[in-house]
Amino acid sequence: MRKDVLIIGGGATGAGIARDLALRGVDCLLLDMGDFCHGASGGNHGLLHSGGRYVVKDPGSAAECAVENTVLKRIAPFCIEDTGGLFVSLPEDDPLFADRFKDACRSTGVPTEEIGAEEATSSEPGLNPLAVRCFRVPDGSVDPFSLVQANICDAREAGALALNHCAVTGMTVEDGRIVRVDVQDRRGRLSSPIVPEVVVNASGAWVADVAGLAACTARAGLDQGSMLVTYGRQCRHVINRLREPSNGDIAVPSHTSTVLGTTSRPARSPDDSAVTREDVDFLLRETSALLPSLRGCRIVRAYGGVRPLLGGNGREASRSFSITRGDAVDNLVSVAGGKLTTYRLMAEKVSDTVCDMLGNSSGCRTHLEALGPPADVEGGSIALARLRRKYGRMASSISTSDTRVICSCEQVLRSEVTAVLKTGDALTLADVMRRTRAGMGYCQGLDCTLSVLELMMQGAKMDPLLALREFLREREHGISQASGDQLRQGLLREHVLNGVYGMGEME
Amino acid sequence: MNEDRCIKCGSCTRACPVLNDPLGPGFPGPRGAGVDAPRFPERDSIGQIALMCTMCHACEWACPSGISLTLSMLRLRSGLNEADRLPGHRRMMDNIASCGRTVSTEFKGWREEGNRTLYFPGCIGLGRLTHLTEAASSLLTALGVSHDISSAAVCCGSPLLKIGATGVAEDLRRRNMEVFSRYDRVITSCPGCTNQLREVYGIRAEHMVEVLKGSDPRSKLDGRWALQVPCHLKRGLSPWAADDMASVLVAAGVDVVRVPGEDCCCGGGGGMLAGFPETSSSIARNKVQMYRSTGVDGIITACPFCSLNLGRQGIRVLDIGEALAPKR
Ligand SMILES: Cc1cc2nc3c(=O)[nH]c(=O)nc-3n(C[C@H](O)[C@H](O)[C@H](O)COP(=O)(O)OP(=O)(O)OC[C@H]3O[C@@H](n4cnc5c(N)ncnc54)[C@H](O)[C@@H]3O)c2cc1C
Ligand code: SF4
Ligand code: SF4
Repeated sequence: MRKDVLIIGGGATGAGIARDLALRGVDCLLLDMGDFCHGASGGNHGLLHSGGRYVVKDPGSAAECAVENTVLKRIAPFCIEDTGGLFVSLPEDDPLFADRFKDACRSTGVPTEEIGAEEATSSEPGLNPLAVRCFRVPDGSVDPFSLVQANICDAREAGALALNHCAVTGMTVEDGRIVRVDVQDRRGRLSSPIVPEVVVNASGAWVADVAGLAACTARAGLDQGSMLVTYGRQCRHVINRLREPSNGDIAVPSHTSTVLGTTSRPARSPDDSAVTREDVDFLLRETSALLPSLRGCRIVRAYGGVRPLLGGNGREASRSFSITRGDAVDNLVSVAGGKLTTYRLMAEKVSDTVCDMLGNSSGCRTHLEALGPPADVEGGSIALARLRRKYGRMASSISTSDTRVICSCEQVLRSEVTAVLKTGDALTLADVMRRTRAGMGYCQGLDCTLSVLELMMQGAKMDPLLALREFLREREHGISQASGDQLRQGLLREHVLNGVYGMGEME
Repeated sequence: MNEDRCIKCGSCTRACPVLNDPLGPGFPGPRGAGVDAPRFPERDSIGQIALMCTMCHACEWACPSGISLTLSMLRLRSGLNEADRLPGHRRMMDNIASCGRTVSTEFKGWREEGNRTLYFPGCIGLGRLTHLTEAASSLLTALGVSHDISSAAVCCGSPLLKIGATGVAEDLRRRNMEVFSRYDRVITSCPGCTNQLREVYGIRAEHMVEVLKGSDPRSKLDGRWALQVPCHLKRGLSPWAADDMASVLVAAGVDVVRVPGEDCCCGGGGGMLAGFPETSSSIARNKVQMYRSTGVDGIITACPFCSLNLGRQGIRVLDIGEALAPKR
């Protein structure tokens, strides 16, 4: 199969590049070995940065975030909760940092306003009353699955082909050019190798592995970060600790929960995302300093992500990105680093480079054209707003007249699952979950899994037991550290799956 | 609130008399209304179906996580839009406005003699089931409890809380407290009233069963009798009050037949009788069928709502006061 551009990696960066190139009229193919968002784009904190977090130590990233924050709120408001953010210092924090923060915000263009502790606690009632310095910033909460999906939909509409569960397994280099790319498609849609003009390596933490297929090197350290999902929304704003960026600084309200994060440790591989007991305890301790009610809060799940780092270790490394042309290979462009918040900017720069190589002179349009419906369409119902948040433009095609709920934790309608299955992208239960949120709630799939599976089996030939096991194993990673009520939940789950359905014995 | 403790075991939904009734579907169930709905504040008006619960507390008793499901559902009701009020509930509000009680008052035997004890029969006892009130009153007199029945006392407010009219309920409380201040002791025959006076007013009202416990009335009742153990007696006041109900009757010489399911809801509580009369009588019909299959001659209960709702199904239903009242 001939293609102008092959993009490897269906995270935010790859999806953004596909949309950008497709809008410029470039014929491109996007592949991901897992589902879209299989990597860091599905394992991050979901914070739409104002830039505040980086102003002191990484002003370049801060400025990028500040600009992209406003762009994304403009083009993709449907998947962003514009909660606003607070940076808050506590008595034990360095009092001078607040002043450095204030100055740095000014010089990097991050909009901020200092407010009194009283005003802060009145707008955020759960905040530690000992708060000292407080700043408002335009942080938000973004649904990465929805954002990436919207980019893919748009790219497809503009002519791109995007396939998930399709891995790049080998490359043939002749005369300093990649002439052939081998793929393994889990669903057998692609049978012949790809013959691309340009290959874009947007494989995130796998950037070195993919470059290696063409005997190129891409230097990136790997760093793991952990996050916790709480039951319920525990704060109204994104709450940041006002101190030198450290672990356990941030709480992000999102959908029905709050995500607490993050940590940082070297990762052995892109898959080394496991969360330890220590991470859980640490995150709870640190974030509850800002929001004391978190101390007794039910933790639904823990998850981790692995990011590629450019220069330096952990928190020292820059959060900016780099675009490199393959050393010995002419038509390979690798991109790594950056943030979810800056994915569009990265995509723009990569697409500029690619278009240069292709001799295409059209300019970027991704900052001009809306990615989906506007945030609050006048007169729309709240149920519809929730659908819009998950599905963007696709929301209008989902019937709300059938009120049957398939996942009660997240109030997912049966018709949402049906609509998602119709797109043909969802191969596994986890794929359905990433799109609908069915299974993300506090019972972690106990309630909905079998009904979703039943719907899936109506449309496709599949081994239900295999699919079920794969999904449950994935969910189990997240609850292995459960305690309190979530441990009771886990015990019930085990009892039902093993004791009632006999899943354990069939293993 | 503690809804965040739910583990989705489904015990509550299995225990729910509404969900288990053929005319129950439509009701989201205790977990749907008590746990899920508060998680989605945008669904604040889940509408009239939020009212489709008898407030029997069976779900709460079954819940292994100790979730205050009924309280959570009551909170949901208090946020209901005026436009969502059911016709039957609107009627209750109209009656309150005109006579201070949820049903029009038929009772004529007021006693305002300055006794230190007040007998508070409640709206049904003063409206629909005046014979129940007369029997209870004469039983009290026979037991040596001289009492007033005050025409100034109004609805206790419990039904208003159940239909989400919290403001009106508070108003009624204030009016009643003025009446109650003239008495040392308040006796009720409706467990709904007893609970309301205890929990909301903070006064130690007694239910007839509790009054009867210390005395030994005799009954001349013939035949075999099953019990309808009122929800608000057993799961509201205490499980011991329900046991006492049985032992008082047995001690009085009644042939009591204990049947499984005697403590299941009759379908008449929580505003259902007025709000969803079809579902309410469907639950009662199925319950009466169960009683009939045991071959008893009738049912004895200790709640005017049970008497009313089950009695409409054509089986003999006596209040405990009627079962023990001296024959006139
Ligand atoms: C713990 C943590 C928290 C974060 N929090 C935030 C935050 O709050 N806000 C923010 O803006 N950013 C955050 N980030 C950063 C953000 O998640 C990433 O910058 C962004 O998701 C990177 O997207 P990507 O597309 O470059 O990489 P990825 O999302 O990792 O995508 C790479 C994709 O390539 C695919 N791939 C790899 N090899 C192959 C192959 N051989 N063939 C086919 N496909 C392949 C993978 O399956 C994967 O899906 C966080 C990152 C981490 C790790
Ligand atoms: S109180 Fe009774 S009727 Fe209401 S939800 Fe609970 S079990 Fe069902
Ligand atoms: S019984 Fe309690 S824990 Fe079980 S599903 Fe119902 S509310 Fe949840």
